[in-house]
Amino acid sequence: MKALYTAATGMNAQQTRLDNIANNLANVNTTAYKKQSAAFEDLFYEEVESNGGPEAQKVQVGGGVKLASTNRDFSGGALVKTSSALDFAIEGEGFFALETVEGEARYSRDGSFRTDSDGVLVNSQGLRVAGDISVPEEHNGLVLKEDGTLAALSIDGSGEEILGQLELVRFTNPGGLEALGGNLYMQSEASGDPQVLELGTTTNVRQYYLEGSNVDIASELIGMIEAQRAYELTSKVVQAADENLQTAVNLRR
Amino acid sequence: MSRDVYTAMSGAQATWKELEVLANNVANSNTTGFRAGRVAFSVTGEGEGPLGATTTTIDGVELSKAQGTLKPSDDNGHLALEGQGFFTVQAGDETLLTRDGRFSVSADGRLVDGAGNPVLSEGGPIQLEVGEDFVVDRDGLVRGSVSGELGKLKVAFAERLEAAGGNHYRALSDLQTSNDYGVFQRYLEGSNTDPMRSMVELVEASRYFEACQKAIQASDELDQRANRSGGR
Repeated sequence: MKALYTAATGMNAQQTRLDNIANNLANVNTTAYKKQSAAFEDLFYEEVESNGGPEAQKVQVGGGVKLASTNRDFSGGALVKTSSALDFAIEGEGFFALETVEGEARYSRDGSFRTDSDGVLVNSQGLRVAGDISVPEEHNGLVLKEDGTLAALSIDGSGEEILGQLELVRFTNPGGLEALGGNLYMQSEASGDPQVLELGTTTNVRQYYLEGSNVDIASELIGMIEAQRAYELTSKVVQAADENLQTAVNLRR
Repeated sequence: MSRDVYTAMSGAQATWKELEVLANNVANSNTTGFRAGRVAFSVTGEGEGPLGATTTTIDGVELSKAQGTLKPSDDNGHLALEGQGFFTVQAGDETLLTRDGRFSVSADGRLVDGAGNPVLSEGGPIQLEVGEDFVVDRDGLVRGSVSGELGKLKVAFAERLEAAGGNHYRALSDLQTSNDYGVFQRYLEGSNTDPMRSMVELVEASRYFEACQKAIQASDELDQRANRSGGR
């Protein structure tokens, strides 16, 4: 009977993989979406008595497969040109630091910012961008400098006013960040503490750009084919186990 | 009862186990670094089985050494092995082997495997500075962007292995250093379950099981006839 259950774990695993692929494909146009992949590992092994003697390979029968983890791939997405001066894209590693109303830190790669009714720079969900940046009501354009400083050109053209600096952080293990949905991430024990990134070296922020999703449709489709065929293959094992059982039951005529 | 019933039964039992091993192989056909098992049968000598029958038993499950497909990955911590041997990781106080190179840098800067076990170089675990990037060359030499050379990954194998689950293997004989391998960064090695072979083995196992059933029934029939002729 074990073969039936073992094969069933395989069918479950392929189903999980398909769920993941479906989620990635659904987010193929989500700003700064980071694709996820399911990782699997083999289950415990049962030892069976053998005649092989102490020097032979052990007779171990595995119990199938289980989901080990879902990994997020933080590689960059393609940059998409926009017309808003408050759209920012991160080129390289790192996250924008945001703050909730309660003052908790949140992190995101989605730089589609706007100003709230008080002129404060917030993200699309209304979370404040760290660094207390306020945009004046009247200005002649906003300029982002290489080091992340945001400046407003004055109306009379006499100069510029420094509004503040975008704060970017990196994590030792970004894969360990807790995803909250809405393109937001939260620090966890696995991710380590945020480290402030200096802009202009390996990481740059581009104004008038947004980062696209990093989902690669072709490789997702290949994954889909793989998952589907593996599902079929395991279902054949279920069939074979069933037939064997039938054969065994029919021994007594 | 004739003893040939036991011969046929032992064949059916061994095939039943083979099907279980096959089911595990197929269930893990998408498991990173999985090594498929292959059942080895043997025949006991005459007179050793029940009623002195000759029987078939399973000798051992050999792990296939076939190379899994290397699949490109975007993750800098993902490593794949080509050739002989396994990556070595420290799990508690024992060293485990794995072909699953889904490694990452832990929050405290150590190179760890998917289960959080430190990955071993020839000089022990690999420790990176905060925020440090690293590259791994074909020989498994890890170089940090800040610290320089951090050590050569320990790639080892053993003649006798035991599957420990979680994509880990335990050495049952002495660990030997492999000289015949290549490390590929930003790649992962797929499972080495061969779908084609699995299907053939599946068909074979089913048919052999059926054949054993027929043999049992035939033996039964002979016994029946013998009973009848004896009763006349």
